[in-house]
Order: sequence, then structure tokens, then C-alpha cells
Amino acid sequence: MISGLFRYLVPVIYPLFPASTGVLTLVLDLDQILKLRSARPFDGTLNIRLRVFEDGQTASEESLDFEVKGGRTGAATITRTLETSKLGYAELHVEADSAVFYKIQSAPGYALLSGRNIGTLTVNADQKFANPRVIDEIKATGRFCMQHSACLVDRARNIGNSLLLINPYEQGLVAQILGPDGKRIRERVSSRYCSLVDLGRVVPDGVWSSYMVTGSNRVLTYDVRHPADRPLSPTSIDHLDVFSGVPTHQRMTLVPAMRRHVRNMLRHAGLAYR
Amino acid sequence: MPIEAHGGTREEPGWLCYCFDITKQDVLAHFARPDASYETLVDETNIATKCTACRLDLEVLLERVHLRPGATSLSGQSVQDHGRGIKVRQDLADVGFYLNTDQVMTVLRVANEGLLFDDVSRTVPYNYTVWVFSDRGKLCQKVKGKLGRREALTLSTEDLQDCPEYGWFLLDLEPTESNGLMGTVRPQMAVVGPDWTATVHTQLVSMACRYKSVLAHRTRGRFAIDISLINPNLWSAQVSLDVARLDGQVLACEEVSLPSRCAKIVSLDRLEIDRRLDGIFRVGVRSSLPVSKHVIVRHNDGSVSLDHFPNAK
Repeated sequence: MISGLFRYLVPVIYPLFPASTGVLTLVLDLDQILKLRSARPFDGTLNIRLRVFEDGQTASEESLDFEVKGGRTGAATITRTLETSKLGYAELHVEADSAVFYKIQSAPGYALLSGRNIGTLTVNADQKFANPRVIDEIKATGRFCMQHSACLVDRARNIGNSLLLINPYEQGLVAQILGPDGKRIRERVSSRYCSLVDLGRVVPDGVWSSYMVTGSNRVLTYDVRHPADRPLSPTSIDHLDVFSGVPTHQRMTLVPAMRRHVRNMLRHAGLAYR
Repeated sequence: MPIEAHGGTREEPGWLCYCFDITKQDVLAHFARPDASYETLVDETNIATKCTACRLDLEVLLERVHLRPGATSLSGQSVQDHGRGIKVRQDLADVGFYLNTDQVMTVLRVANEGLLFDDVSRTVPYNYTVWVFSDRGKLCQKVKGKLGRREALTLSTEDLQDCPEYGWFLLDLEPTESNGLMGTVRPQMAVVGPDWTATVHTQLVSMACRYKSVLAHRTRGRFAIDISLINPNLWSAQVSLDVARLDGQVLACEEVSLPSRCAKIVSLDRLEIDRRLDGIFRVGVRSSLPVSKHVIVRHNDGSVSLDHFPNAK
């Protein structure tokens, strides 16, 4: 890091399901990444490294170098279709040969999981580290806690809900999953492994519930909806949220504070909702 | 200025990783190098790879390294009250769509739980208001209530009288005390079928934007994707929805007029595209005013999955 600029973007993680479930398609628009994240047009090299992990091992690895001139690669978008035989994950690094990025977070976007039987699901990426919301949470509470407030397990209707844990770090960890009624389970996730945990073990059946995840260390989490008898056939993949460390109130100068106040009044008077 | 991580300040380096004898100053010195990154730090020092107790502290320390010049946090939010300016509640007005048919209903859920279902010392009670609109902009219901600590709001379209089959809602959460954290109150909306559910976070109405694009997969000449558009503004919006190849070539475009406070679902399969064209496409939605946009993917088994378009910021 030199003078507020960075050589790299934070690596992002995508969950991978067994090939019998579906394949994940990633689309990278390099020129768009450079446009959104580089401080100025630059000449140099951009390296893209994509690694797929399965059972703690690197299942495949690809590294591509692109020549950048005037802030553009001239390359078309890169599309990759990824699949594994078991649960796994893909890790994507974007790195330049000099400090050019003014912000380390990757631009938002999602990948597509195309199922053999069901159709297509959207899948959000998660950041391996430097997630601003996680950092805010740790600063405010001193704890790591992820949560989801709309969990439903209803075995009579074959509605299942599971938690996908991904540990992309160098050491194993123990995650604790907590239900609203005091039930809790501990799940060990070895380094570079994934684990799918049935939430029916911690939440009451047939009732909308919340659940939380904490652990001996940070872990990446996804909420997976599926038929109760087929956990590896997801119909929806959602991210969890942190226990937000952001205060309910913020300090503002007079003009924005007045603007906020007027907007709230207009909204509650039914005059302007935005 | 002190570093926020536990047990040390910039002036007093403090141990970060006892397993490998690494101080906070060692980490900051590493990042003074031009080729430094998180990966090189871990490779060269083994920090956070033995007992791993220091990883969360390392994340907090690295925030300082990863900050943009002049910024105080990566998120742009301050978790500390510096005591300057007027204290104003966060704008917690969220917007989402609902489906309410014989087979499918929508549930809006907000939970106000303590940290790890235990510590409620940093949570505060809220007043909530939910406005439920039809797709034609008619206000059908207004639901108000209180959401105390350790309470949850579960509002289903089944519980609302004369709720249309499709429309949108606005949920405003008003914290009644000023010294709390937002904790778990980010709302979730769930669409529920006979044997499936799908959830997505609602999106702050302030995050509605004029242009965003998403990817869409077309197989056998069919997208099976609907785009939900919500115009919460006082004025009509003109919306242009286009499907393009990944190289940018636009294949089809549809113009939609969206009156004030109206919502509309547009099926991508309505757009005229050569049936032989399959693969990944980019769907862009451009509007004259900020409009909330969601993707509804219909699956072969009758279930759906949901997502909102990326936030404006």
C-alpha cells in the first residue's frame, strides 16, 4: 500500500455445490473493474487468479495476466464455469503490478448457479477479509456474530433450511449455531472445507425464527433453502448479515439533519415516500 | 490516535499474535512495503494460522491499512459517537415487493434480538410503520406498532385484508432511544410457496438507483426471470429494460412507463430475442428516477429465488 492506493482487491469467495446440483458461472468484466476501482487510467499488468477448493485441497487453479493500457485491457469479459464433486468454494484474486486501486472492496455483483433440474439461482460473493460490516461489528461489540431473521423449517411441508459454512482460512475453526430457544450446536470446519448444517437442529419446526452464528473465528456463511429431504438441491441461496455495529443514530450538520427530518415528516404524512 | 483493536495503541505497539511473536507495529511495517497484501503477510509471518485467536483483531487493525485517505472506517459509518453535530436517527425505510396468490404469499420479518440472543444492552426498541400499496399505487393498508427488545415482527400478506396479488410495501423503523446499535433489525422478506421458501433482504429506499445491471441465464430460449420495478417517487418514471450480450451488443429493449407509487413485473421472456440464443446475458435497467429493482427467478419445480439489484452506493 502506497499513498492510499492498493495493488489488490480483497479476495472474494463463491460457494460451489456438487456438479449433480449445478454449475457456477462467473463473469468478470475487467474493464468495468478497472473503471470502478482504479484511481486513474494506468499502464501495467492485471493478474486474475481463480482457485477452486474442495475437501481442503486446491482442485484447480488458473492465473491470467492482462496487459492494461490507458486503464483498459481490451479483453472481452471472462466467463468461467466451475463445478466440484462435493461442496467447495472458489476464491478470486484481482491484483495489479502497481498500486492503482483506491478502494479494496470488489464491485458488487453475483454469480449464477445453474441447476441440472431446478433452473438458475443467484449467488452473492463474500469477502475473505476486510468486510466493513464485520469490522464495524467487532469494533462495536468485540464479537463476531452473523444472523438471519427469517428461517423456516417445516418438515410436514418438506421445507428445509440449512446453513453453509465456508472456512477459506489457514486453520480449522469451530462455529456455534444458536437458535432462539437456547438450542446450540457446534460445528468444526477444517481449513479450506465447507459444511452444510441442518437448521432444523436449532430452530422450532413450522415457526419463523432467527438464528445466529458465532465461532472461535470468522467464518463465511450462506443461508440455503431446499426441500427438507434433499439438502443439496438448493432453491435459494442468501447471505447472512452481521449483528450490525452501526449506531441507530448518527451525527449530522444542520442542513442534512433538517433534510432528513423533513423527509421523515413527509413520509409519515403520506406525501412523499422516498 | 489509538488503534481500535484490543490491547494496544499506535504509540504502544502491543502484541497481536503471541504464537509467532508479532506486534501491531510489525503488521503496519509490513504494509508500508509496496508489494504488501494480506496474503503476503500471512505467507511470510504465519500470523493468525496457529491458534487463530488474533484474526479478528487483525481484521480491525487492517481497517486502518485499507482506509481511503480521509475516511474513518471502511463502511463509511462511524461506530463511535464523536459528539459533534446533531444526533439524527438513521434512515431505516426499506422497500420491497410482495406476491399474494392462492399458492404464494409473502412474509415480512424484522427481529430485534440481543447479541447472540443474550446481551440486549446495545439494542433499543423501535416504532414501525408498514405502508402496503397495490401495483397501481393505491395505499391498501398502513400497519403501525412497536418492536421491543427480544421481539420480532412477522407480517404475512395472508393477514392483510383485501391485499392485492402483487404490489409493494415500505417499512420504516424508528428507534425510540438514541444509544443503541442496529443489531438484527435489517428486515427480511420471504416469498413462501406450498413446499418452498425464498428470502432476500429488503433494500433501503435511499439505495434505489437509476441504472444497474445483473446477469441472467437463458436456456432453451427461455429466461424464466421476472424483473420487479417499484417507483416510490412522487413523479412518474420512464424505465428502459434491455438485454445485451456480454460484449455489450443489445439484443432487445422494452420501455415501461411507471406512474408514481406504482409497481410492475416485467418478464424477460416477453422480449423478442432469437429463440436459438442461449447463455449468459446482461440485463440492464435504466430509469429517469431512482427505482427499486428486484430479480425473481422462476424454477422448474415451481419455486422461485429472489435478489435485489446492487445498491446505489
